[in-house]
Amino acid sequence: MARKLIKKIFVVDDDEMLSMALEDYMTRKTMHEIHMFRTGEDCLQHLREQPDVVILDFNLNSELKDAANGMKILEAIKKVNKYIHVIMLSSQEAYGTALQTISKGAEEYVIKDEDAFGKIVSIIDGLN
Amino acid sequence: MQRLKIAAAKNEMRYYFIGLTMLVILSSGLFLRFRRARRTKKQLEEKNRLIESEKENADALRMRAESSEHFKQQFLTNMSHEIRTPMNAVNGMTDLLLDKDPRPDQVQYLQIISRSSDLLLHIINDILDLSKIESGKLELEVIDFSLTDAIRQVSDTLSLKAEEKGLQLITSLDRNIPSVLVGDSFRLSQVLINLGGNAIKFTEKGSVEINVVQVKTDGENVTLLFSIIDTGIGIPDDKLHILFESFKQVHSTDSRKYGGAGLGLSISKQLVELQGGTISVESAEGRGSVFSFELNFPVGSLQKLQERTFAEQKADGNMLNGLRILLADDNEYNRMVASETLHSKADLAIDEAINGEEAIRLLEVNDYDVVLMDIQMPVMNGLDATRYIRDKLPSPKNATPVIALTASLLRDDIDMCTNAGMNTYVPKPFKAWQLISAIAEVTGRKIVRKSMHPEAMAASAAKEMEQKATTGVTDLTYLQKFSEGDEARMKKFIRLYVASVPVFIGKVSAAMAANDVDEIAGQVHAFKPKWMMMGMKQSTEQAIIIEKLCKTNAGENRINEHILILFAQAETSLRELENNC
Repeated sequence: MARKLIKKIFVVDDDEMLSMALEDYMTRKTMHEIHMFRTGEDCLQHLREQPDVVILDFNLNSELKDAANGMKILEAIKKVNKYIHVIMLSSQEAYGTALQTISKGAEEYVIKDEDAFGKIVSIIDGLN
Repeated sequence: MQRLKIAAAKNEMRYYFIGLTMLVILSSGLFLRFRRARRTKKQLEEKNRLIESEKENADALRMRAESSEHFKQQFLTNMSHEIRTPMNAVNGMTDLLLDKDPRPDQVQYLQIISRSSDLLLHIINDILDLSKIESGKLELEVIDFSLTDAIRQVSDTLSLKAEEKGLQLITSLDRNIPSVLVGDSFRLSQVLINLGGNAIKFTEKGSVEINVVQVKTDGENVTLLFSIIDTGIGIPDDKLHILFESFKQVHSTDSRKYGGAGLGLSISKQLVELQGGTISVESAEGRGSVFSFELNFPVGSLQKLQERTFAEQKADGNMLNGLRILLADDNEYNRMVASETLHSKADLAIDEAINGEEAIRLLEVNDYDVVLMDIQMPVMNGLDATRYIRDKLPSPKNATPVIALTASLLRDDIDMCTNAGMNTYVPKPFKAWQLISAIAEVTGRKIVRKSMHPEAMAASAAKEMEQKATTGVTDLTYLQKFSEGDEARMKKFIRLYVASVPVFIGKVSAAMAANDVDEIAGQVHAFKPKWMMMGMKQSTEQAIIIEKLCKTNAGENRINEHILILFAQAETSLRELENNC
């Protein structure tokens, strides 16, 4: 199966600054189609657009308290379509949490540090 | 007449005959008796000899058992030293690295090393504990402690494991329980962590609850019922009785799946019994188990508790400035750990010796304020060296305080140190504050803690800011690289950051006022990427510290102290970035 060169990517994060930075970085460095969402629910509603990758923040309910958090959205996405690659993004360096997300189907667990954006791009490039 | 004589003679003969026969019978009877007696005597002698040799055997066995017991103790003490010495190096080096501002991924690795070596130490301590208990040498502490704090520590230790398995960890305390009790909080926590850890291990879904209820009180003493309730796989009826035997695991076929050396339950049972209680267990296979025990505690005094925790809090090393220290240890890594730890906390001079003899030679020529003396060293060990110092050196050198650095915490070994003339001891491995407190204690320096008043807090926060003002809190290197030198782009992000700071401060201040530690932690956590984008490493550090303090429910003052530092850094960053907009 030929690898898709231009992928459709959803970015789900409620942190305005980080989302903007990530969107900015990805549109500059890659050719992929980027869509931004502030809540997991919003992202779920648009899943029928068949994204290839979802970059999902773990802490989605820091701004809007009633929003579901990353783990739940991860499960929901996998239920709709288990072939969507989900990359978790988080400031939390908890080993156990990372393992749990991977066990629930996340592709990778990326920690929000200086190398995060570069890592995300290389992970996406490595997917098929 | 002749016939009568013959008849008479015949009669005589008959009498003789009868007499003779009787004599023969008698004498053969006596002879037989005699022979039997001799045989019996021989048998008795045989028996006596057997008994004697049995007794000798028994004595020999007893002596062998005693020397084997002695050997076991010796072995354990030696092993304890052999294992603790390199562990001291691992722990000490890891702590030093964590102190040196590592990268976040390095922090993660270091924490894993730290946790693994703690676990290793934990297992070794378990084995030693069991041996101590079995030989009657385990002593229980009698100190004032807070049950709430102890339960909270237990809950913190167990929460990660519970979280990883998706289990709920519940703790519930009877409100009637007095806030301060007297007893051994460390051993109590040990039992609860053992039982709680087991509960988590054998539960796949649902919850583990630690419940404490006051069942009796007479005003001066309380009786508490501790219950650990899980919704796990349960224990089959026929296996209940072997539950507490050392090393046997009930689910032995699953031992690889469930792990563990099997010592925890046995130690818990013995510890509870040592404290005067009994553990009982109820279980239903497939539904769960309840482990419970009752213990008595006298009611304690809050003042004594505060005095003790005051001494344990992070001691400010600077009180040790100017001291001259002699460090005697034959192990190079141990020397490194001790001297690096001290140098990182205070300004002092440290001379090193590799054995007792060298230590004495140095002490004869120089003056020191305190000697840190390892016990096991070649050529001359720590005990002999101390004895020499006390007996043979002139005054006032012979009064130099000596602190034992010891891997063994057995009462007998501590007593040996005291008898040799040592002033106090620090266990190996040690935490920095233990070493600092001990040195402060014997040199008469007062233990100083950072003041907790708000004015003082703000003042010290401002002072710290001044000290760091030379380098500035923000570092736009990352942002520059990210924006590829595009100034407009950089300004866009800086403006976003600047606008978000007052919102952040407002939310956190509101959370502080409402005493909502979860909200504080949540807001601080969420803001971390922004510190990162502005290159504000110190703020990222403060954020991590605050999150940890909130999670462990540390004192309000400590949390506020660090939040104020964070706010001060944020304000400074705004000023610095203003020039960039």
